Amino acid sequence: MATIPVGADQPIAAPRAARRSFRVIREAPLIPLVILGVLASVAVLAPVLAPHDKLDPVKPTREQCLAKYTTPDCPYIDNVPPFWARGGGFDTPLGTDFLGRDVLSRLMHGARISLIVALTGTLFAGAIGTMLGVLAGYMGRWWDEIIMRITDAWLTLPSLVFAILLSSVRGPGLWNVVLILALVFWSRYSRAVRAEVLTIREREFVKLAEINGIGKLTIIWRHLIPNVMNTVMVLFSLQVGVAVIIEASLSFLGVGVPPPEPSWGLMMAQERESLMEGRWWLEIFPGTCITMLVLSANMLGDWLRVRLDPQLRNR
Amino acid sequence: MLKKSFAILSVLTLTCGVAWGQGVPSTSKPILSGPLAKLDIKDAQIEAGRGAPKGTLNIGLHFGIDPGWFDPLGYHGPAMHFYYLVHDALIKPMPQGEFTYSLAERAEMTADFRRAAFRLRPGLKFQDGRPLTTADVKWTYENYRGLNFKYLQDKVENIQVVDDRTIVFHFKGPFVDFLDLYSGSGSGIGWIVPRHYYEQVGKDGFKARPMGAGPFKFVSQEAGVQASFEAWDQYWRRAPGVKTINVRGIKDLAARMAGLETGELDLAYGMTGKLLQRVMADPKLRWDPNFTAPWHLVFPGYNEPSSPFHDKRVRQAVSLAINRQFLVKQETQGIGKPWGNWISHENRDALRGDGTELPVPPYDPTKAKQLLAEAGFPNGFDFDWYVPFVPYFDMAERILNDLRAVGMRSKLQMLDAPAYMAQTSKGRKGFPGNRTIVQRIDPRPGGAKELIRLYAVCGGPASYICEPKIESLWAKHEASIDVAERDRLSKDIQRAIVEGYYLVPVYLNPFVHAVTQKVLPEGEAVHHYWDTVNAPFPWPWEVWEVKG
Repeated sequence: MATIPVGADQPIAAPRAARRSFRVIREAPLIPLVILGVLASVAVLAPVLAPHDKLDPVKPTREQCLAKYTTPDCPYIDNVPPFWARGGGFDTPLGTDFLGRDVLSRLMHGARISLIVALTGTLFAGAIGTMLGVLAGYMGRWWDEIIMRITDAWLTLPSLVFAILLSSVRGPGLWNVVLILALVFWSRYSRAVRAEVLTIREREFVKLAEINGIGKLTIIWRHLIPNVMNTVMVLFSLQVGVAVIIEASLSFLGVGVPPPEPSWGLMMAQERESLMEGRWWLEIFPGTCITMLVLSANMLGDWLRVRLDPQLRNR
Repeated sequence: MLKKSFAILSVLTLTCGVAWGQGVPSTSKPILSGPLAKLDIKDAQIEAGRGAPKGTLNIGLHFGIDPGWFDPLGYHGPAMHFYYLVHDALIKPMPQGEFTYSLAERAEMTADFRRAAFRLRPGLKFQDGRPLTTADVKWTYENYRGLNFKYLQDKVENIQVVDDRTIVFHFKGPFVDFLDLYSGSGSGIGWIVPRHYYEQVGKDGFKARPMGAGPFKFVSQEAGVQASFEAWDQYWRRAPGVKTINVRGIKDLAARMAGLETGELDLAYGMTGKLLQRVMADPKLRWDPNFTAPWHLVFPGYNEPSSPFHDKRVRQAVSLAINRQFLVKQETQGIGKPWGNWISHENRDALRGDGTELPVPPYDPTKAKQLLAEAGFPNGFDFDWYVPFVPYFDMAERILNDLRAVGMRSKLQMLDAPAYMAQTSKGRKGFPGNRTIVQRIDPRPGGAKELIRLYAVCGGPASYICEPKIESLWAKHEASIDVAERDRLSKDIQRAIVEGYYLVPVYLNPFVHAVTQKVLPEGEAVHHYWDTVNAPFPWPWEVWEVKG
């Protein structure tokens, strides 16, 4: 008599899990992920990948100097167009800026700055906002009153104007921009997280933990924070795009990352006049990078929101 | 060039050669008794009976507007642009000469420089119709709190109001430089503020709605952005040519250029940089090179031993690292002039920095690196900030790039104009730490000694330099009433500053202004607007005319 082995239904479960994984991959926003992956890789490997220094001008040849300045020796050739345009070359494939610096190399290093600033700024904002939201939602009473009134007031501040104000107080600088982003965006997390915690704190597992005499800090750490992480992740991915825009705007306005460091926003700001002179590549390339990064981060955020929300996911 | 000839002709020969007040017309009756110093003050050009003002002149200023600039009692450099609109001074720089009579019809100083006297023109009024009298002159002097105020007020023993039109300043000792500081260029103290109105509206009220005796009435302002002025046709010298002047603070060069091209602006400042070529090539625009003063670098706190700039070799390396010739080509299309002094040659008793009196600093990056190595920086060093003059950020980055090439690395601190002006007006105290380079320029009419007094002596209100050798020369200068000796000492100080690399001159700046076809007169005759010696802006405003 044939015996049915224990766990005979297992071969059925395995394809189901595989199918689910496949569905997740199939529905994943591949283009944004690839763009973000490429930008992240470029940011990490910029010192290796960049063909030239980010700050030093590209040393011109004798012929180039003669052609541009009618002198055999010159420190740099400014405003060289991209390789496909007349006067361009593969040595500086995306051209050079007003100081003869390689645009491609500066874009690569600019990715580093934009990502560092946006990710760390949003991370700090998330950490501060999540902690305050959890405290307000779980502790209730005057904790809730104080934290939420401050949050409400904070939310009324226009983010870019507030960022400019903070920047003028703190002064320009990469880590100051990070701090500014954290100070501007924490309130968005605290409001959303508090709402989530108000529901979670009434659930059985939290009540049981309280009945068993588990301390409040432990409950927050073990039960509440893990349960709000979905919301935090979605907010995080959506805020990264906004942070990139704010960083670029601050740098564009001269209160962000100080020159000569290459930030995309700053690169655009420094070449405003060049657009009038037809040197479009100095504006278009950094502008395109900002657009791609923000768009990808937003699409990823949207996808995460759907994936992590059971109601939306099953629709 | 007309400006140059004025600089030479308008030398104020405060010699002890004595002019006795004899045989003067009745309107110029002497005020003071005894021997008088000979003053070279030009007569005002009064043009009565001109037609009604017409048209609007839209000006694009290259930085934001600080409402504080409307109040002469708290003087700041760029404020002169607005003083010439709303206010008036007893004597002020005009196209006729560096010292030209304005509200005063006569000025005298005794030969020992212990007394100065002025007689106002008859029938002067403020824009609200109230008479302008010597009481306002006295009150303005006593209530001035801007640049040099302590120095100016400490020098005075008392101010005697003889009558509504006559005033005498009695000094504690010889005050040879009085007219330099009182002439409307060295400080705000010479610009007469209406006492009754100032006391009525208060300091903040006055900044919000200034009023004076100048050719244009203040109409409105949007703080930092724009200010509007309307012609006051009862101005004593002449009715203004244009009816309305709008001044807009536009930091962005591209926006100013666009404003000129679209006709939103009729006059724009600071057109050097990336778009100068476009300005030069545009047949619809006319431009004036408007040479002002030399750009220079200062090292706040250099005399503290912990500063890398404490070592003269490092400061010299800064100078050697700058490729002035290339910089001039990139920034000014070659019209700027590499320069070896930090004071304009149009200032009296200034040494020329074009190689005739002071050498043009050479470009030698190899020697710069060698000097840095000798000073203990074989791999160069990082310094905190390079602070550029607003809004010349591209030029600053070019200079920073030159410094980087020899190993001096830093980043730009881009301030807004009011913040930059406020910080630099404090001198060394405006910049914490001692690892900063500040890029400066100060175009102001007058003697070179006024710039030395401001920036290069220990007690200067905006002092960046404090050196025993310079102090000793300056003490001799201050003690002397011999004009020739003072000039010699002033030049010795300039030489000591440049040779000690306490300030590093860069190039003589063409502060290019551009006008559209709307501005009259047509053609090249338009350059007469820039005839005032060493003036950064094309005042006086009452002479401007536009097509209606």
